[in-house]
Amino acid sequence: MSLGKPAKSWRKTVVVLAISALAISLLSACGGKEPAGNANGAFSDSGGNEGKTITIAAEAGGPYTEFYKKLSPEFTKQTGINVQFQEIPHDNMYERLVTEAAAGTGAIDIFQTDQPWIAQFAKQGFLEPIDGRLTEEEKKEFAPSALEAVSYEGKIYGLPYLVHTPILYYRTDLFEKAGLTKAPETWDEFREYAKKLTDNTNGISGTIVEGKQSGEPVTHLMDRFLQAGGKVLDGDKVVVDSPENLNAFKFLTGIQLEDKSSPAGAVSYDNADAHNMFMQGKVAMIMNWPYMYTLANDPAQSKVAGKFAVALQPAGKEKTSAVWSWGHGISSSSKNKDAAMEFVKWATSQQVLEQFGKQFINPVVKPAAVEALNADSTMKEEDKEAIAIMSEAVDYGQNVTTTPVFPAIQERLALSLSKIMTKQTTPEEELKAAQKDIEAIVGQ
Amino acid sequence: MSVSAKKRNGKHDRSRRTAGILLTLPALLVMAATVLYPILSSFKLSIYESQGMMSTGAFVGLDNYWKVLQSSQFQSSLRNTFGFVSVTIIVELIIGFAVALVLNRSLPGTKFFRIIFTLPLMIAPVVSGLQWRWLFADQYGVVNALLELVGIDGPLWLGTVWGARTAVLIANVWLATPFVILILLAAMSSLSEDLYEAARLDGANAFQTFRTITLPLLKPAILMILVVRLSDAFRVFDIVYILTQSGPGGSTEVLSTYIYKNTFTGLQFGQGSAASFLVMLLIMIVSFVLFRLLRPREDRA
Repeated sequence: MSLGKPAKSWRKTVVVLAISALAISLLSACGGKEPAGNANGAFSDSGGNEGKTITIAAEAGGPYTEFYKKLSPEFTKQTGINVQFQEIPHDNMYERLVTEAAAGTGAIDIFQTDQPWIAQFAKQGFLEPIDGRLTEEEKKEFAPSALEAVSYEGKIYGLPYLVHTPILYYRTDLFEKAGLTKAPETWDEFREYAKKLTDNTNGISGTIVEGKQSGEPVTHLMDRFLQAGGKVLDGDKVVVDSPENLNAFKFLTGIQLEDKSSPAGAVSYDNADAHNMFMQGKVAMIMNWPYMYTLANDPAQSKVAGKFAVALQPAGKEKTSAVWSWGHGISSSSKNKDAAMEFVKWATSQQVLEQFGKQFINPVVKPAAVEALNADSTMKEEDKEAIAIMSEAVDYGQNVTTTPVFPAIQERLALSLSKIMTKQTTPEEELKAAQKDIEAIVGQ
Repeated sequence: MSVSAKKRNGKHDRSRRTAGILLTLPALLVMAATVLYPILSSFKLSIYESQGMMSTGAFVGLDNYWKVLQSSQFQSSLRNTFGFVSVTIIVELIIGFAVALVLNRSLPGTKFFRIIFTLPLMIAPVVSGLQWRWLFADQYGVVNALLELVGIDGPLWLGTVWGARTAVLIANVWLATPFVILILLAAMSSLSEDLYEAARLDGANAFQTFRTITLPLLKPAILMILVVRLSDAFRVFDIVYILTQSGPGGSTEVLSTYIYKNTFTGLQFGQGSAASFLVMLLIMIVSFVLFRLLRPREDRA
């Protein structure tokens, strides 16, 4: 026997091992269990849910997860239902929920749902329609835009604890220094102010145009489309390639590439970067979500506490923006749907929403809760005003995620935004390309 | 050998074989459930139309494969992956050799550095991806701050096509080279000192010694590095996903991120599975070719 042989077979083993390791990791993601099917083991013994345990899949470390986690013992005390939180990092949430739902094991009773997923999950049958579990009075307690956000083809697929849209944050101290007395109300004013407020010697940018190839910057892009009078879908028709959407891109490239009142690196920024820059006092105006209000007013983590105010986003041709919800939906494979429904209702009860609004200074989905907060003498006047502005912004808002293929559209637009902001293509050409690709996505 | 001895031997062989099968059976069953089943199940997905989630529609044969091959996104991610794989492996080997040659000498401090150089192996790629994202950041990133110290105006690492590609490459080389160093060091330490002494006596210089002795003798180690690192590099995902999310403008899209997006965001499970099989096929071919090219001469007979 030659000495080379064991060595050879050893090498063969290495090759085989390497290839099979590769095969496993490539394919394990795709190999899955049988489809969800109709695991409707619904036994409705309403009321008798004591001692049951429901599992909620929630964003790990998210402020709202923390809020509900802290409050859930109260729910257990009231109902006798135990609550377990399964925490998933935000980046993996979508994929985890999809695989969990497709497997249909019933391991999770409640999904914390982000707006773009609702239509898709509803269409795939991952979420339980809950219309039948709500009375007309219960529905009427919500602001109409709130329930519209969680509806798909006329049915309600969850209850939102938060419906929000970005608002304008601006630095009152820098405005004063620059001789500006009020927040910009139009795109032209915004662009002009941004130029004026840019102060390169002190390292301050007028604003930030997020350009990273990622989902969150696309939510801002949707706002620009809507404000320019454009949109992505008109019913089932794809209308991406329009003069309105072109104007939206020209507005963004004008700020980023011509005026340079957004830092050059902003083409790789998403929400996290814009957030950090604002809290570090390095930018005068940004469009961001309501969540930042409380954080930016906390001197322990923000250099701009007390030095900023909020306003509606400046209007283009139209005064509007896209609304997005976060809510709780019931998994259609849950074996504890009644218990889960009790939690979903409790999470948006008047009393919980008041605490919610007070803690986060957020728009609140029930007008009665907003009124109660307004009457609350322990709250600061400027915080009440902020809640009013945030809630008004939601009233102007529209739901843009009405199609189950929205995640794929969002991904395609992320590519467009990134290509345009890094000058790899022109807005005109890119809109044509995006139109073609999104038509293919919708036509599937 | 007598007939009875042969018989006895045959019996012995059979019972050994039975014992062998029995002993490996549990492992084989586990492998079948965890490896074979998912592979077959994905193959099934790849030849059916995807309808909704993982449920399958009509049988479409190789249609999913054609669709993937024709998609411009697949083609560009294929180009990006090939570029990435070839450059990263060459750079890893060059740096790996340089470091291993130094660490192989018994200089003061080499033990300490051997430990230091293995540290990246113990860090999860996701974590290191986040670290590099901070390091490459434009406003507060350490990389550009250091470049500024020596008077260089650093590029927008994550905001330009080649900046982002270079950033992914650097982060990956940092993460993967220690493996190359370890394997090379292990192989070098088993080389006979006699050969080097003979070379010295013959008056060979350092470069000649390296080219004619070290390099040929390390061929098996290099082959192993190539096979392992190639399949790793072809599957690169974490670093790209964390660092650039395949941006800007898709310029760092690689096969894994393409498959991920197609499968999970587009919910095209059929095409996603088809693409996975295409990639697997590709790696098998590349590995096979390398294997033929690099195997030691005496095996070729």
